Amino acid sequence: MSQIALLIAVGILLASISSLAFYSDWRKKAEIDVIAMQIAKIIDAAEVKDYPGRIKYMLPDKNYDYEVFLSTDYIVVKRYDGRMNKEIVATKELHTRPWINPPMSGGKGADGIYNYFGSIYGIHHNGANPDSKLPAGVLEGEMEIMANELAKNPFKIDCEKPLYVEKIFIYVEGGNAKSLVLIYQ
Amino acid sequence: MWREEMQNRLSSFINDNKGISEEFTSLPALAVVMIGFALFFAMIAGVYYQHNERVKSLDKYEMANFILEKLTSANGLLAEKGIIVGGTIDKKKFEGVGNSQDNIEAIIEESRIVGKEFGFKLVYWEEDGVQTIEWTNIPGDVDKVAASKQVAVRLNDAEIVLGVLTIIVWGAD
Repeated sequence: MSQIALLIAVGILLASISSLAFYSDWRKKAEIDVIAMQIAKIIDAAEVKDYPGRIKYMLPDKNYDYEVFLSTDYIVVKRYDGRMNKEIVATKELHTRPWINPPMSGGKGADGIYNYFGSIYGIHHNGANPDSKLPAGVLEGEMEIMANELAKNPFKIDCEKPLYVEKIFIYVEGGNAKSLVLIYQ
Repeated sequence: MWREEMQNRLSSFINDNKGISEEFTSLPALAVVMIGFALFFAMIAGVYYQHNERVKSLDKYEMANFILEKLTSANGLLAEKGIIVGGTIDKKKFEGVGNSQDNIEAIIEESRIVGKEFGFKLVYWEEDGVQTIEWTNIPGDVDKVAASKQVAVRLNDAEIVLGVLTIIVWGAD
């Protein structure tokens, strides 16, 4: 009887340990942690640039479906094939505040932003150079609108399209050029 | 009759103290194997936990290094404030800013670093020995992380010496 009991206990112990090791979702979470980290590193790399520049990043092609969301403070990567919980989420904190999916017109990136401001404040106040500075407070207002919008609806990245991370400089009245990192597709 | 006989046989079998015992049972061996398994998996869990802690530490260091690089770049905030001039750290300006809480708070706010506060510490070598200048906002009792880089320190118009600039980062309240 004690042998049978011990065998049953051994079976239960082995089953619980193997389910933890082989069937839990920690490996799947680690995989999407890497994706979140890669995106964060691209944003950091653009942030430390001393000059304007654009980085084009293609999200990795995986044998599972995943979604990527950007909000002002976090990168969130989700996949839906977990065993324990259906949804597996990985988050990575952003240390700076990029401008995510900014309003642009007549082009993408820096030109799109300058055209957008030019269409509102005039071509001589589009922030493109020291002679056409943007009115004070405008940039902060736009960033606040973006933050409020993203808090409600994080920006969902299309994994099939490239992601552009661009460092630009905007000249603002009353100060030096402000550097910004734009993220768009 | 037959029933009585069966009952007598069963009773004598159950009450018989004689018996044959096998010399080796599998019970102790199984117990040893299971203890070995349990120790092995406890060790695996410990290694996984240490790996996770190491990744977290590395992440924190990378964050501190990122903030240091961002602030000390040629167009960074320290250059804007006149603390870094021509690639060198102006010792007087650095000391002046570090002693003023208002200036420090202004720099932290203008840096647009989210969720973190930071302070700087400059160590440089003079003829008299090693000198240290530390910003006054660095707290003593919080979890901090630091990253350093070698810099040139301008003591005055005629003297530039070697130094190490360290950024110390902690979480904002």
